[in-house]
This record gives sequence, structure tokens and C-alpha cells, in this order.
Amino acid sequence: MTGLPMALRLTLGGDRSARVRLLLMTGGAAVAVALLLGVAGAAPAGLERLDRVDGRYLTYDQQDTSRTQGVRARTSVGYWRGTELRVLDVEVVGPPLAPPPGLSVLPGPGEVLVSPALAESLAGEHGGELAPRLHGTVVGRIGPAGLVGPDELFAVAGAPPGVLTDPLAAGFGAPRPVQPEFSTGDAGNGVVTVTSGVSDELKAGTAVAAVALIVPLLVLVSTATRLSAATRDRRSAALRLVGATGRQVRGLGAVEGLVVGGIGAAAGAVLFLLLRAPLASIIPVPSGLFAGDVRPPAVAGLLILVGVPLLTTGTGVLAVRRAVTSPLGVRRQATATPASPLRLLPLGLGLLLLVAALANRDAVLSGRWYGTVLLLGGAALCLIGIAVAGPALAGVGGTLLARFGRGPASQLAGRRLALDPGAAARTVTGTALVVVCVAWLLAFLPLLATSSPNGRGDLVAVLQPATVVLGSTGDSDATPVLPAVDAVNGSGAVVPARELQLLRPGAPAPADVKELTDSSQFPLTAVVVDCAALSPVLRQPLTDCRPDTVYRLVGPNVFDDAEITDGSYDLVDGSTGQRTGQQVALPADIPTLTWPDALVQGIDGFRLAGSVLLPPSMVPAGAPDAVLVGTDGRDGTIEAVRAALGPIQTVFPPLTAEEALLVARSATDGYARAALLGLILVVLVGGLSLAVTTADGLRERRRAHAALTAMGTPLRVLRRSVLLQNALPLLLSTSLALVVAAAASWLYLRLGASPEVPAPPLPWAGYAAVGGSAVLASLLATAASLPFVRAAARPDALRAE
Amino acid sequence: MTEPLLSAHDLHLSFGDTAALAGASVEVRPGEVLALLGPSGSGKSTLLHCLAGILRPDSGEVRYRGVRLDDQSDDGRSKLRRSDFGFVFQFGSLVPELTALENVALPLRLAGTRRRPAEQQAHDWLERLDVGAVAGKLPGAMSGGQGQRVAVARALVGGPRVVFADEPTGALDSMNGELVMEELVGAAREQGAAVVLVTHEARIAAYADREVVLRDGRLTADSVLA
Repeated sequence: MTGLPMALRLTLGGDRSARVRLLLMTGGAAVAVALLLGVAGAAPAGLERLDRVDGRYLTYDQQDTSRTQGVRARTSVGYWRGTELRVLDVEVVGPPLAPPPGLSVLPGPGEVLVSPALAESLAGEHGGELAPRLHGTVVGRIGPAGLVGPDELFAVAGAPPGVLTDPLAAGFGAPRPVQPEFSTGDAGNGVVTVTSGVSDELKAGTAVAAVALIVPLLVLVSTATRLSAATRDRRSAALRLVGATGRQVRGLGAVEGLVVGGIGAAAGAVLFLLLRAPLASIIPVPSGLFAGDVRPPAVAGLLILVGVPLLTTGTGVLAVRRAVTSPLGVRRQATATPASPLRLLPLGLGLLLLVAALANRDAVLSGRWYGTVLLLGGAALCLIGIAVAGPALAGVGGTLLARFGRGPASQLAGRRLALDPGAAARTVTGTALVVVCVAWLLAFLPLLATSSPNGRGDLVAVLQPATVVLGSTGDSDATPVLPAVDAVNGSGAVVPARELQLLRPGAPAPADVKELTDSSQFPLTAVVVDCAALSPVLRQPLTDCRPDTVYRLVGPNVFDDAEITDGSYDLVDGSTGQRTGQQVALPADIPTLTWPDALVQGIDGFRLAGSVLLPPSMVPAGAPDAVLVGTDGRDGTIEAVRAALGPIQTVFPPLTAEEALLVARSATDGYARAALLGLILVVLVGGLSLAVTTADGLRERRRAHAALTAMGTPLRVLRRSVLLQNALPLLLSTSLALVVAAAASWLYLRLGASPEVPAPPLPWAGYAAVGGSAVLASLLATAASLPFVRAAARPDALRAE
Repeated sequence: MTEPLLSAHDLHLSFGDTAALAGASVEVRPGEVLALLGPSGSGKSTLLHCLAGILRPDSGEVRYRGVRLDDQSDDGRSKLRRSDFGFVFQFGSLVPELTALENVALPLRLAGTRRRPAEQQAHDWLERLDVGAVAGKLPGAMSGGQGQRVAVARALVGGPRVVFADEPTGALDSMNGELVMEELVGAAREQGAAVVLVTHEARIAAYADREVVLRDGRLTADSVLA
């Protein structure tokens, strides 16, 4: 190809400003590629890292119950100063076994291997609190291959013979059990599951977020490739006028785009590898990420490294189209065609589809094809519509500004916008799309929280935050450890609670109360707790709580059983459903007590729900189902209480109300933090695009600016004009984005609403914050380019060419 | 003899190693049309830019109405250019996004005149220079001659005392060039404004009352034309 050397010469050669331009273009593409690789690598990092801990699971052979050699293991999960702590107790029976990944050898009895983060915590100021929970002496470390992340607190402890009663397994390394949804409970093989699952809503949210992240990065690539468009247009037109064919000029554009994209992709890959460690450290996932975890899947990586050069090549070809079709027009700097109002059509159509979806709510909810088309088509058209409408908005805004704005700066900015609205809209469109996606996410976050069982995180609203909650004590009786808990310095009220079922007088007596079919004879559920002792651990003490009094509990979620008659009730064990052979007598005219809703909602492993409250003095002594311990809030006190509760074997470890809230919200908070991180990233990228485009535009128009300066136009007028040229389309696009997001969210939220479950309100404050921060950041980016106005408006440009 | 309106004394100015002015001195009297002649690279445009306060000389002084211009602040010189000077360049002097009317009204608006009266005056000037028909057109849609006449209207609309014209006809054919010169010089004389004209064409210089010739950054001849 004879044109290739010439194309390379034109792309890579040239004067200093041409080299600076090439550097800026490849730099922009490199930043975009690095960030794309980062986004592609960060998204699966949270899930892929779980594969690494497959080795912690035991291989069981269900058929073989006569095994005499092998390994027993049990994982206990607890909390230490707000962080999860896992201890895997293992006992090898028979010859040595291959250890799980990350370990060179399994620890012997009394020996403990710890993760680096745990070792650091042990060596720290509060290490004394941790040591007793590790069941042995630390003899070594666990390598990264055996850890979820660098911050995981994990220990593998060798158990002495006879301590573990779990069945024997052949060895480690079974495939991970079916990933549970939202559960943090026992997966059934002695190992507590590592994480909660991902719901469809969260997956949808991730998809929206991925679009929100990728769009502005592609805008940055496109912006970088189109830098100095006017200069290059003139060059292409000059080539065309001296006889180059359209194909040759397009070839030149393609080569330039390919060179920019190719060098940018290579540099971006290097940049990604350099930035991977800092990126891993700021991605908000529990236990943190190793740098190696941020690794894009091979297909995605290849797609980015090949796709970006293809994109820049395509952009390069498109960029020269005007010079190809109308070289004389380029030479004379003829004005571009104004944006047509038809550009508002897709947006209007998208909103109409959403309204139609609302009108056909049943079809949408039942998954009929046309309902899905209305819903998804409406959303897609809204996104496309915002991008397409950008230039029309900027054009209309510019015309109005030039017509009604005050002062020459408004006129200069308005006319510029009206004449070339596409250039102004290009960079702000990315920001607008992000604002839409983030605003959608904001509207759906409350839904995500309520649709998750872990969303019941309001316990902290009713309990004092530092109250330690021990739930689901199961077969263990906590009674013997209560004096030790009470003796902890700084602990407050120690409140054991039980749940009992009261079989109604005259009800038939089946072997199991669960076999009762007549609802009027269903047993009453009673909470057995000393309400006077409970009050101090509540934020709002219970009113009218008298000792030794039976109360009928009332509250929004208390089962309202009107039939509570006086008489003698048989006690039934709540967990087994069997009669205990004991009775309790309920008096007539039971007073009512308002019961905090959050105690009924509870958390995994803990809830206090019932129709009546019985004082402990009225019922025979028994093992508590849950224990609440008030503390002074100091970490040391909380850890001492945990240590005192240590002998109790529970599936759900003791945690404070505050920690329960963190656990309950971890999924949605994680996504909210990721969304915020994404927003910061895209605003930075958008700002970068805006600053680069503004600076480039100033350079391109330096002759016009120089002429204005020569005739005495103050620099502040030029600066105000530049600021207005970015601010106006930005404000218009962002406002439009927020209106579309609010309208679409309002419609979506109503689709799933019912009289019982009303749609949550729109987060107006969040919208204002998102829109405001995007506009502010973009204006700051523009302001950063204002110092260039002086340089760009220097009268030197008026001197001979 | 009339006091000079604008004067430059012993100006030196270099761009890197290249000396653009090397001791140039010149005076401009009220109402006179002065042509700065010389070959390419002789320093004509640089001298004009120094006289207009666009460039600041390395040494020497420029005085306007007896007051030092070259030691004023950037803002001060900008204000003076806005109020007392007008400019016509070879090309690129019109703001491409503004219509002819808006371009001409721009100096008035920068000086604080409201839009309507500013555009009325601009319109009068466009009519006067016979380009009223392109008032609503953008520079890209005008011919070269029309564009330069609009530039002349813009230079004169604020009632300047001095009009600086740097190769105002350089991009025009001879007929259009002469038309523009006639209008520029005619209108300036009517206004009583002095014109400092940079050209390398003797034909254009003939419109001047006086011409000075520059070579290697200094004046080599000063002659009053008949």
C-alpha cells in the first residue's frame, strides 16, 4: 500500500504541536483502556476470589459411613472489633493429608496457622483479645492462595482428638456447595458459607453500573481520537484538494486512528498493570482484594485491547468524512448544519414506551413479551435519547443564550453553541448518561435493601448500638456462662430470652403441635423475658413495664391474636414442637405492651416475636434461646463479652446491634459504595474529557481569540464565554438526565407496587447530590482549562502564518 | 507642527534570536493615513502591534496622546484598544460564530452599550459600507471583500482615533482591495481618525498621506505623499 508510509509519516511526523497532539490522543486512549480493563477486572473480582477458598471445603462420600481415617473440620465465624473472624478447626485421623491451598502442612493439635492480617492484629495493641479465640499457639502463616483477600482474618487450628464430633471426610477440595442466596449460615457440610449471593436486582444494578462506567470511557476514547479535529480537517482537505482520493484520505484517518488506538491500548495495558494494586486496595469488598484478583476475563480483556483500536480506527475514518465530501467547505470553514429538533424524538418515544409499560402493568409483571419490550425498550430509548438529544439541547440553549443572555460573553458562547452544538454536547453527554444510571440506582437501592432477607437491619434502631446479641443458641445452654458475662468489666444488663409456645386450654393434644389444623387452636407464642431488665438495652425503654406481669404484645408486626383467654396453658418446646409437661396460668384482663417492631423483625438467628410476654418468674427455668448483653460501648468490653460467650456453640456468632446493621446492609452498602466509586471515576473521566476538549478548542480557535484580544476584549469576557459554552449544555443535559431518571424510576417503582407495598419515594436529595456533584466537577474541570485562555488568546497568533 | 497622536521611539523587540524591531521610530499625527511599507519580515506588523499596544517592546517607548502606552498594564492597554483604536486584519479578524451585524456591534457591546442601540449603529455602518445585505450572515458565508468591509465597519463603529489595518487587502483581488481601501480611508477621514496601514503593495500605499519604509526592523525612509 503506497499510502501507508505517507499516512504514518503524517501521523507520527510533524512539528512539536503535532507530537503533543499525538501524545494527548494516545494518552487519552491509554487512560480509557486502563480504566476499562480495571472495570472489567473489578466486576468479577468479588466472585472469582471465592474459587480460591474451595479448598477449605471437605470432600464427603455420602455412601461411606464406615470411614475410619480422614479429616474432621468445623468453621466458626465470629466478629472482632466489627470485622469477621473465621477459625477452621481441623483434626486429621490417620495418615497425613494434603492440606488446603495456602497451607504447606496441616497444623497439629494446639497449633494455629493465621492469615497475615490476623497475625498483624494479634501483634497489635488489642491482640490479647484475639489470642484466646484461636484455640492454640500460632506456628505459621496462611498464604494468599488460601485467603479470600489480604484483609481476611482467618485461622486454621489443629484440634486435639475428641473435640470435633463432625463426620470424617476424605480430604479437602470439594467443589463449592451451591452458592446460597443471602445466607451466611451453615452450608450443610460443617463449613459456614463465605458470602452472600447476588440477587437479580443486584445483577441488574451491576449491568446498569457497567453501562454507566463504560459509556464515558468510550466517550473519552472518541474525544481523544478527535482532538485537533479542525487542524486535521484542514490537512485532510488540503490533501483532497491536491488530488488525494476520498479513499486515500479515509485511509489516512484510519491509520491515524489505528496508531492512536494501538499505542493507547498497549500503554493502557501497562498502565492497568501499574495501577492494579492501588485499584484493588480501594474496591470496597469485605476482606479486600489481592492485586491479582483484579483481572479481566480473557474474552473481555481481548475485546478491550482489540475493540479500542477498532473504535479509534472507525472514529478516525468518520472524522475525515467532511474533508472527503466537502474539502472546499473545510477550507472556507463553512459552518456545520445545525442540530435538528428531530433529535428529541427517541427520548420522547422512550418515555412514551415507559408510560405504555405502566398502562400495561399486568403484561410487564407477568413477563409477556410485549410488556418486556415496552419496559426494556423504553429504558434503552431513554438512554439513547439523552445521547441523541444532547446537540439539539445545546443548540437550542445556545440560540436562547445568544438572544436573551446579557453581555458579549453570552453572545459569543451562545452563537458558538448554536453553530457547533455537537462538539459541546459530545463530552457532556457521557456525564449525563452517568447521571441517569446513578440516579436509577439511587431509586432502586431501597428496593434492593427490602428485597433481601438481610435487609432487616433495623435492630440498631431499637437496641443500644453496643448491645451484644447472641441468637440461635440451639442445643447449647447459655445459662452457665451468664455469670461470667455479667462479671465482665463494663458490661450492663444481661438479658436471657426464650420463646415458648402455649397450647390453648381444651386444644387437642396431638403428638406434635405442628399437626394442628384448626387455626383457632394454634398455640400462642410467648416471649419469656424480664421486661425491666430488657429496657436498659433498648434505645427507648418500655413504658409501664412492671415486674412479674403478663402482657399482651402489640405492634405493627405482632400477630394479633384476639383470643387470649385466661386459664392454664401447656408449654411446648418451640424448637421440637413437643409438650414439656409443664403449664403456665394466664390471668384474665392482660394489659398490653407496645413491642418494638425491630425486635420482631430481628436478624438472622435472632428475633423476639410473640403474642404475649411472660416474666421468667412465671415459667419453669430453661435454656435461653437468645441473650442480649448491654455494654459501655468500648471495644475491649465488647470483646470480653464475646470471649465470655465463647463456649456457646452457635451458627450465628455474637455480634453487636451495630455490626448486625453492617452485615444486613453489607450487600446494598457495597453496591452503593461501588456506585459512588464509579460515579467519582466517571466524573473524573468526564472532567478529563471536558478539560482536554476545552483546552484543545482554545488552541484551535486561537486566531479568533487573538483578534478579539487585539480589539480590546478583556480576558474575563473570553473566560466567561468558555465557561458558559460548557456550563450551559452541561446544565441542560444533566437536568434532562435527572428528569428522565426520575420519570423512568417513578414508572418502574410503580410497576411493582401494590396497596400493601407502596412504591418508595423518589430520592430527590440524592438526585440533587448526584446532579450537583457532576455539574460542579465538570465546571471545575472547565475552570482548570481557563488558564489556557490567556495563552490561547495571545496576539502572536495574528502574526503571519 | 501638530503634536503627534501616537509615537514610537527607538523600539527594539526580538522573538527568540530574531530581531523584529531594531530601533524603529515613527510618529502618527491626528487624522493622517500612514502606510508602513517594507518587504516580508521587515517588522511592519510587529511595529503596528507595538503601536497598538498589542505587543510590548523590549525597549524604547510608545506614547499615545503624550502618555506612555507600553508601560501600562495589560488591562489598561485592552481598555484603550477598545475605546480609542479600531482594527482590520488580513484574515481571521471576524468572530466566525457571530453574524456580520453582531460582529460590528461587538466593540460597542464590550464597551457597555445595550444590544439594541449597538446593533442599530452596527446596521447603519453596514449600510454605509454597502454590506447591509449580509447583516444576518456568518463570516463563512460571505465573500472575502464583504468580510473585509464588515471588518472595516467593526473597526470604525466605536468612533476610534486610530485605525490599525494589517494587510487589509492581502486576501482580496485588486478591484475588491481598492473598494475596501476607499471605504476604509474615506470613512476614517470622515470620522477624523488616523489610519496606520501595513502593506507591501505600492498601489495600496498610495491611499496614504505619508509612507515610511522599514527594513530589518528600522525605518529607512519617511516621505510625505502628494
